[in-house]
Amino acid sequence: MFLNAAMSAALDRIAERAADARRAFTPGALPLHDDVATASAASDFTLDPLVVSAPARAYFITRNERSEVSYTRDGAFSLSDGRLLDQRGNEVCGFRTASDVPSALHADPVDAALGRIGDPRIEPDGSLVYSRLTIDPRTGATDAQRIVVGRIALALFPPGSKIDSSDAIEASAPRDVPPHVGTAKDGTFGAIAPMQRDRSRIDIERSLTRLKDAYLAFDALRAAETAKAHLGKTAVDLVK
Amino acid sequence: MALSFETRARCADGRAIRRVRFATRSALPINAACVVANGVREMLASLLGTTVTLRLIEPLIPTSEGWQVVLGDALIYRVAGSVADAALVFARSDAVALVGAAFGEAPAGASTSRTLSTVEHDVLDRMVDEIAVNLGPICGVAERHRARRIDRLEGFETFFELIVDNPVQARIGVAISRDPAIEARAMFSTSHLAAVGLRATAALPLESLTAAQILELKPGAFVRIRSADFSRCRLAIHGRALASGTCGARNGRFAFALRSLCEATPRA
Repeated sequence: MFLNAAMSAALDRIAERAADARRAFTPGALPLHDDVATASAASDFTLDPLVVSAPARAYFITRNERSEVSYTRDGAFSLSDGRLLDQRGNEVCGFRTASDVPSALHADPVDAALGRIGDPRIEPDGSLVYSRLTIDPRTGATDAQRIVVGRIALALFPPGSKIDSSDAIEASAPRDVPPHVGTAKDGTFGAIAPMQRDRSRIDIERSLTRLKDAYLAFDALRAAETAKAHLGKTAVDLVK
Repeated sequence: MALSFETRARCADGRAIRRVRFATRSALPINAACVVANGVREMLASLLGTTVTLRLIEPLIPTSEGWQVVLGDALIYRVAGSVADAALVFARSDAVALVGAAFGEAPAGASTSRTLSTVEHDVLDRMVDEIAVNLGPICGVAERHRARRIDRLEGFETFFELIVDNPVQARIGVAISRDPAIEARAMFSTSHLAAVGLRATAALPLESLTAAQILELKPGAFVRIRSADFSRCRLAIHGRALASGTCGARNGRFAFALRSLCEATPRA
């Protein structure tokens, strides 16, 4: 069957609606269409102190091995060789010391290599913290020294920005729209919620309804096109 | 080797679990490391003319990968002792920070990522010589603990770190060529388990029952025990046969009279 622009657009709408439905259970996923978004953000409690939920509208900044920057709402992080990684193994960026440029957060390499990173956690202000056991040589008393690796960087895009994401987990910045970058509780961003993992912002029931509507629209278009083709053929036969 | 727990908990099924693991632990006494740390603190305090805050990280035996990271591009000084050799390990940024403090620079005033100048190297060498004087408790007494800069460090076993927090933030690594031998201690004896409670069972092997008799068993039924059965009683601990003997009554109490101990058999 000949595929015209209207039918092609209808197929695209089906693909987009199907993508929304597929992402309904992806943590932190945002819908492609606002009409299937849940009324409010929700998160699930987790025992993992490296799993966090970003403030409203904020994204975590990650960097892959090719130094390509992407943004994610899924704050399920882990430590590997002292490096803070997201679920895909990308490095999570943050501010170390007084640096202005976000860079990959990693614990002291000697501490990591010698297995001294104890009780790693992310605090509400975005600080990646771990404990290192030290001994006071004068008293012999052991104490857990609090080591701050850095603060996780957050990105905020202007309202109405179209965040492009192929999988709803990683997103790339809109072209020519630089994000505002900061940290939790810095005046612009709210607090990070530790031990919480974002749920998807996609309502599964509504997204399935919209997917069904998209299929119906496609079927209707196809019927109309078929009828139109029959009419054309009849007209041509009459002319003959 | 010592039993310890993983530093990171694994979360599953609503529980956070830290698994047990065997870890290699240094036998270097903490007190010896504390003596070294106190000596280094006093030396740095007199050298820098200010109060020095210093802490110690427990000695351990790094893996080969751990040694690679520790040594990295560090400046290494070897000190010969009468019992073992020691080495002082400085990450380059820490060396810059310590030398900078000796010159009275503000802690964050200069970049610590640069290399040391010739003069700074000389100052560091002298500083290390002074630190080396305090290494006696871990590597044995020597007439003069003189530090010699080396490019590579191999075959060392034990490592611990001194963390300087004030007036600068720096770490001084101390490596020792061999870990002290563990002192022989009293062996484990069964007396250590004397208070552990174990469930004992005395069982009577009866004559065989037919399948029909077994099917007819119900509350109120009787199973015959012959007097000969009492003399074939077996004592078992947690299912493991321990002795054979006779069940009966003695001085008005039921009792098991031990006749012979069973031979030790390996657990199935």
